[in-house]
Amino acid sequence: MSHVLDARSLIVRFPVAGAAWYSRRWLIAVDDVSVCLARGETLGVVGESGCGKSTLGRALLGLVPIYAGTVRLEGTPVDWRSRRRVRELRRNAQMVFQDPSGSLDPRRTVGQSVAEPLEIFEPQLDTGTIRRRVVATLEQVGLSAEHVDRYPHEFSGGQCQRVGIARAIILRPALIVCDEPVSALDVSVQGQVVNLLAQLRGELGLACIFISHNLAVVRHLCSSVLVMYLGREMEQAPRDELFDRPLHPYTRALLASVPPADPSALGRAEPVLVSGDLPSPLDPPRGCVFESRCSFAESRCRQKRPVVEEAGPGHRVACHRWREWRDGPVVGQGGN
Amino acid sequence: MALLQVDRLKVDFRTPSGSVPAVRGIDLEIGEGDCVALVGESGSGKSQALLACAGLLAANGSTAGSVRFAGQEILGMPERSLQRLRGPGFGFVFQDSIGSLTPHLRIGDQLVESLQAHRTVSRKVALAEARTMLDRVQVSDAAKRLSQYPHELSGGTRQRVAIAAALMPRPRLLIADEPTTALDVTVQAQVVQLFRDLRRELGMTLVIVTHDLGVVAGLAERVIVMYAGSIVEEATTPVLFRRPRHPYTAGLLAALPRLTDPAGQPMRAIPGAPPPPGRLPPGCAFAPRCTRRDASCHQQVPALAATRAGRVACHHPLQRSDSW
Repeated sequence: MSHVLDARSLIVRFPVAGAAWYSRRWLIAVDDVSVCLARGETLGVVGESGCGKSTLGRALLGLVPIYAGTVRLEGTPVDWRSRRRVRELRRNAQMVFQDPSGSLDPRRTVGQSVAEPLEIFEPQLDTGTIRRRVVATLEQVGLSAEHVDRYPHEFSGGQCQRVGIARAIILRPALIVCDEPVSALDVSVQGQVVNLLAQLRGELGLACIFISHNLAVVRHLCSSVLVMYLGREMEQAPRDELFDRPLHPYTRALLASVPPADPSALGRAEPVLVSGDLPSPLDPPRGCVFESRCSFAESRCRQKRPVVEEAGPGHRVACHRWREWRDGPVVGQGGN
Repeated sequence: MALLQVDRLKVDFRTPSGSVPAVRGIDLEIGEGDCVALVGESGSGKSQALLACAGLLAANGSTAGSVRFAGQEILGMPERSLQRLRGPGFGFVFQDSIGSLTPHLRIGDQLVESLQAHRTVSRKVALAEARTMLDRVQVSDAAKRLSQYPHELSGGTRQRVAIAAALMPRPRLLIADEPTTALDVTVQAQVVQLFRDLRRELGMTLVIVTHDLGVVAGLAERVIVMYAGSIVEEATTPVLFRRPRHPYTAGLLAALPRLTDPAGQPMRAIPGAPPPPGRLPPGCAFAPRCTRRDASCHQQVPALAATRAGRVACHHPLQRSDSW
């Protein structure tokens, strides 16, 4: 089976500022994460802030250096040392950022911003062709020709995000990485952008990585989901499998934390499955990284790091006790 | 008598390009012991309305109307009297917990300061109270936290400390402006639970400003929905969620992503975007995005009329038979 993206055992680390060279410490932002994506598929990457989900997305596009691991895009391995190969990757894989207006140059018209990738990668095109392609792409994201010569400040947040998407798809990439594309938008507008991504995925056969902290949004859009915590893969599964039969206690805690938006729960105490805050990524717990907040941790969880195991077709989980959750009743699942 | 009584409150901001209305004449009433949520999208005026109630508007803001706190008129009150009223009268919790704590003061000092500003107590007594308060807001290791600086704490703990600081002078009214928005979901659930506990234990009056209907559902008894500087609907929480009357409320509820939605289906959204303040359409401000609009909506601003469970401002409110 040919995959658009096949990344194996990625590790990304950053030097910790302030330490001397002989005692240099590293922050492991992404620790041994593998993802695989076919045409038309969308992988949701979820987790709390600091879990490495954005770093993973950036690493896949070469925006932060990868320390170890391999990335294959449409079958060919990416060689990060070759500028030509990285350039090819950039043409084929694009990014949509969280801050819709911050990612557009305020002094350039929307048309100029959307045209930029074309000018870089297809310099032979004449102005007329570029303009036609820009208008066609803007129409594809629900804007129109009249918007071409306007400036970002004349647009609402939702419209700016449409422009960001237009700029990402104008080169017809195989993969787009969307980093929290709707979290800065108003609730009434979020759905418009999510639905647009779903529609483009169908029309263009895009593979999409959708980074989000909102599981309910992920459920609408994604075909599979990766749950990360402190840089590590906790669970990865096809959508329905993950939402209906979550195996990792952290996945279940995340699901239970989504406010049910149901006033019949008013005043009723929800079972809080996870206590405290994230530990420092500089000093993660020694065994399982989730151990310090997990209500089901036992002594082996504190000592030994769980390996990622195959729990079913496409269902990967890193928990010492996953077999118990699979066979036994799911304990304390609430909120959904 | 209501604890907070707001009549025809208007807030305008002077800008280089003219005066921009942020709040366009709202009436509301908060009784002792109530828990009310003020809901709206960015630019709806929900935060500015409450900042005006506490006399905390930015320097280019001006107000009209009346805000009475426990019978006293707030608008136009001299700064010194306001200052006296603030701690024991109303406490504030903001979205940005790192910005609301002083970076170079230890947690203990900040909590002591917030008490000593309003009561003459010795440092020792104040510190002891600070510790009790940290325990009450469920900060682990309270004794150790007192000597730490804000940057040493995680986001969730910092928000708990900010809540403790607001509660130190025992305010009669606590106003929380998007208190969970900057937090991770797991921590968000903990803070909502904390507000519930505090209300049960202290019988505190709470006004929570948020854009997140999910947070509202589990916390508030009454919801006030704002759009473009005006109140469009008010109802008790169960009624609002089950039978919204204003098409905007119904649209917001439908747009809220839920885990119970069918998977893989398109999300629901309201077409268009909220109008920027200062460029409001004539008539009903929501009309250009509304599916129920007709000619009258574009001409006449609908009045806020009483309903069985609250108030609604719409020419064509949803009826019992309407699905949404």
